[in-house]
Amino acid sequence: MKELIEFIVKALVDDPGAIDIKEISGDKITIYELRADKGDIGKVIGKRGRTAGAIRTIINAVSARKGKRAVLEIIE
Amino acid sequence: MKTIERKGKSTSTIIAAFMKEFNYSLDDFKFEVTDEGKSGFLKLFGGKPAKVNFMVSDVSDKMTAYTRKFLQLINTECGDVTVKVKDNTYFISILKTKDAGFLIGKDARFLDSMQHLLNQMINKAEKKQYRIVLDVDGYRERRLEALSGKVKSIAEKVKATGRSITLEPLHAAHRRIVHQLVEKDPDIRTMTIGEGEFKRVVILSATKGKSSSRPPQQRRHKKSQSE
Repeated sequence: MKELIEFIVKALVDDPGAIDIKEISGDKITIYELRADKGDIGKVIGKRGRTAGAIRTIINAVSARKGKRAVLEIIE
Repeated sequence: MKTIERKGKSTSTIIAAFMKEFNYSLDDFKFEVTDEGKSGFLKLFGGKPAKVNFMVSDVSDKMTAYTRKFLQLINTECGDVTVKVKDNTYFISILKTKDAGFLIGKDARFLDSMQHLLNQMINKAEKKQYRIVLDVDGYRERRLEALSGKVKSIAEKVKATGRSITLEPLHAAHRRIVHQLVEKDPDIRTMTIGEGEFKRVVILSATKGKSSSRPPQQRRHKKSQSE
């Protein structure tokens, strides 16, 4: 899953090297903390949060297949 | 992938000329020598030209690669991925997958999300705006047929009664299709009401003059009163 988020986010930003994703696993919920370069945050979120929403939809659907939940937190 | 054929004196000169022409480095293309040619040894004439086919990857290859990688990362069995271009729009189709239902999701939410992300990713990589439509096993086409059938029957009703009919909230892409379909018919026209996710298309009669162009909200209001 982390790899998937990395693949998507790194393709969206100007500085892929600054992308940092921390995975915090719980029993049922896994939290993904995403950090990016200041100038790239907007690209990850998208207009009206559309891109962030799309990433959340995807990771939620994928986790739901394993009976889990995934939370994406974009940290500024 | 597009293939370009070039002829020339020798394979090495063809390749050098090709690289110079497009300003390519060796990583940018693949090639295949289809004819070595004959130089006629010491005689400069009477030889046969050499032929080389160059395979240059274009944006469709990138789209296929991104889609495949995406599918692989979400552990989805991936049958075929094809890309077709029509009117500047790239149609990426995922075919023969066992996970079609999963890939579409409720109200096509998964498919739309994946399409949005692929759009952003590819446009970022290419620094150009491509319109990408992602489809799984012809799902979008089937939805489109259903939608145009619905619009047709509503259009008939509007023409017969002269009263406007409001459609349920639709996606921007679907609303666009409704507008385009109605535009072809001079007897009816469209209007949009609502905001954001609740935007709806109203189909109304264009021939009935001013009486039919009263705001549809009023009509709905009346209806709710009578209920």
